[in-house]
Parts: sequence; structure tokens; C-alpha cells
Amino acid sequence: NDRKPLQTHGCHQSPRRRRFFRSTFGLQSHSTHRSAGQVTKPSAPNCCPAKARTKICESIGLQRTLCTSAVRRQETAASTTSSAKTSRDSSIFPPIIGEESSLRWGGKKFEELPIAHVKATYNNTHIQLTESTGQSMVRTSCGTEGFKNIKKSTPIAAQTAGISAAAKATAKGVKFVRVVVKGLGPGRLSAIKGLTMGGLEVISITDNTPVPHNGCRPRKARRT
Amino acid sequence: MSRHLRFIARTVMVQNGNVDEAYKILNRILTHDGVIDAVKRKRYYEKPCRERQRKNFENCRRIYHSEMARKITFISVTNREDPWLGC
Repeated sequence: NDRKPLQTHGCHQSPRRRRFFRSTFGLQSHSTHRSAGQVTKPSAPNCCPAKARTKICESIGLQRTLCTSAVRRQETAASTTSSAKTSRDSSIFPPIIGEESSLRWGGKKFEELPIAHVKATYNNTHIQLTESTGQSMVRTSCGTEGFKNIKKSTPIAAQTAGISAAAKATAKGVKFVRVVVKGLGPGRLSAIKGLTMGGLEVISITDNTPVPHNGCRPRKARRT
Repeated sequence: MSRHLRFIARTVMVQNGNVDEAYKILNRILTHDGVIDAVKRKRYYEKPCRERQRKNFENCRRIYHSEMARKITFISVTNREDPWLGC
């Protein structure tokens, strides 16, 4: 899109084409001649995204209350191992750190399991396994695996880092782990896959990507 | 996120060892909540004039898509009551 001077990440229609929309709504009477050369058909219409978002949030909220009440009901009923397994399978949401959950992994509660922090930057991927207290156990990254420069920012490098981190962790006797992902980089999914391939069992995935509420000013936009 | 309780928001449990499925669910939740868009946008600074243009563009796009979807659902209704019934 040559008319746009600045790079916008991942938008398929330029805001310059807003003149097309404006002319259709009659908001701007002039300058339609400029958009005449670039008039394109609109993309396939979906339902309004704001409405879909509220629907999904409402449904998620309803599901959450339904899930917790379902867990309580199954516990108070004649509890067998099968009922515990079905309650574990049916819930997407993590057990709240109150007292109600009967879910155990290797004898440990959810809040006592070790955490695998995966920091997926655009140039590298770091993996650090810590205890639930915060004590660091294992630390690997694409650089420690022998990759250099551009090869570090690949999903394959993240996978090898995951495999080596899992190997070191199983040597220390860790089986179940909850994963916390930070950042949107190329190694985001493949690091978790590498952890499972290396022998650790991932029980939950959290996203801890830092979203500033307009804090520090980031660097200026790139012009490519 | 140091001021918030951990492992409550943006968390998905893995069911039956399906890590890919859980990651897809997490991604869908994040995109619907606008988190992924916000992170991508805040990577580089967006000047206020560009931000106003983008918001305007997204407003117009939202109106256009909702109107078009309404029209299409109206036109694609096939089971209408017979207007000439009784003739």
C-alpha cells in the first residue's frame, strides 16, 4: 500500500480508505475523486464486533458461575473418582484460590505447582521455571541453546529451548507445571509445545502480556 | 500485573492434555477482548492524529458492516408468509 507512509501492523485496509466510507455516508461531499481510483469491494460482513464481544463476555461470565456451582454440586453428591475427573475435564477456568477445589496434580494444589515463565519477545524467547514461591529452578533461552542472532527469533529455537528446559526440570523431579506467557513473539506457542515434548505436563496457560494503560511512550513508528 | 491477583484472569486450563486446543481458546478470548490488538498497536507509538483517524475509520467500518449484515439477513430470508394468500 504505497500511499501509506507509516507502517501499521496487520490491518488489511488503510485508514485512507475511510474516504470511501465517508462518501457512502455522505459525510464528505468533496474528495470522492481521489477514492474513485481505489474503490474496492468491502470485505465479507460479519455481525457487529462490539455486540459479539459483549455476547461472549456475558456467556463467559455465565459459564464461570455455572462451572463453580457445578463443581460444588458434584462434590456434595456421592463423590467418586469419576465425578472428580468429569469436573476437572469440563472446566476451562482455573480453580479459584479459595478453598473449594478438590483438584490435585501429583498431590499438590493448583497454587503450589511450579510456574514456567515464557517471555516471547520479537527477537528471542526466554523460559524460566520457578517454584510457586518464586525461587528459580531452571533457566533456558534460545541463546543458551546455541542459536545466534536471527535464528533465535524462530519457533524452532523456542521449541528446542522448551525441550531442554523440560529435560532439566524432570531431572529435578518436576512433573506438572502451569505456564505463564508474556509477549507476542514467534516462540509463543512453540515454547509450550517444546515443554510438553520434553516431558513436562502443562495444566494451565496464563497470558501475562503487559498492557500499559498509556504509561511509557514507546519508540517511534518504523518507516519501511 | 503486580497489583492484581495472579492466575485468575487470562487463564485457561488444559483439558485432556490438549495444549493446542487450550492455546486456541486463550487466543480467541484475547482477540475478542481486544488484548492482542492493543499489544500490537502499542509496540510503536501512534501519534494522536493517526489515532483519531484510526478510530474514525473503525467506527465507519463497524457501521458499514452492521448495516450490510442486516441487509443480507433481510434479503436471505426465504420463509416469508404468502402475500397473495386467499387470491
